[in-house]
Amino acid sequence: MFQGPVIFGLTVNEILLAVFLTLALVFTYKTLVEKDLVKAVVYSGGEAVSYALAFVVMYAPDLVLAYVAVGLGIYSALFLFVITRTERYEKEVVEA
Amino acid sequence: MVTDALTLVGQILGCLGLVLALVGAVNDLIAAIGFVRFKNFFLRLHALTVGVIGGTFYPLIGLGTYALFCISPPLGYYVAGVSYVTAFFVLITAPAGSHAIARGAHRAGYRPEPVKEDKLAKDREEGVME
Amino acid sequence: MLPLETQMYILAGAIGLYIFSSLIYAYKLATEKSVPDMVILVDSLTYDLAVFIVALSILTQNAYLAVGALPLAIWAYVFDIYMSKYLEGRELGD
Repeated sequence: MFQGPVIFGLTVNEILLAVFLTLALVFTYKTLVEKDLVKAVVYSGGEAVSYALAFVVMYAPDLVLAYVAVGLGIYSALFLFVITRTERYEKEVVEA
Repeated sequence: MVTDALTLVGQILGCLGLVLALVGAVNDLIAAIGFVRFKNFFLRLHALTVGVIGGTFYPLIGLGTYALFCISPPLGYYVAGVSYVTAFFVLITAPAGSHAIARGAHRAGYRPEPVKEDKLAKDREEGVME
Repeated sequence: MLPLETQMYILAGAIGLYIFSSLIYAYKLATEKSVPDMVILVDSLTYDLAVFIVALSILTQNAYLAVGALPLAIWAYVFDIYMSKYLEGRELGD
């Protein structure tokens, strides 16, 4: 078992967990504010990969299997199929 | 005597695999820098190829060899099998995927930026290809 | 050949390089404008993650962790195919 160094009272696993969950937060925010829906689908794929990295650092490979299959495969396929049936660009909502 | 010689050969192969993993990590860093430096999608495909074959296929082969020879049997055989099969599927699927995305990008209207002659676009205008 | 501690440090250095290049990919993905570029960036991030899983599984001597590497590579390919089908303007079943 390899024991990493301790930096500022945090182990390497905790630092990596913080970095990858911050990455997932950034991609979630970009998904929410994006007006082009295809780009939003790609951002949510990046968010799924970030969560998978966090799950690997937390030693949960079963969650990695489920999360990547749903978040990168089925979710993007379903949403691209829906976007082909509607519009690609989201319109600005006019406040009444 | 023979067992000692085989153990030594296995140790040498395992350390070579470890060095291959380190070289693959450097290749992946080069690919990441290439993604930042290249200005265009069709130029960035070069960086993608470096990142996939040099940064994923070779390190997986190296890590599999290291796990096969330098780690105690049940764990080592398991990790070696996983990494060899993953390397095989990456070698098959990644070029097909990058070709598909390049074809789709050219059809969607993205063009290479410093271009002398684009025969594919010309053929599509003349109706030779669909 | 090499002592065991040196082998583990080489492996940890490789993992560190992979994490650094993953961060560069993620920065580029967050500031990128065109769709095919973003798709190949997600691809590269996923393949990075596959090697990262196998290396971490060897480093921590935990065989259960290595099981996620193969489905990651396959799902990245499937994502490529979906996005290229969309960019060509065809339906998914064609």
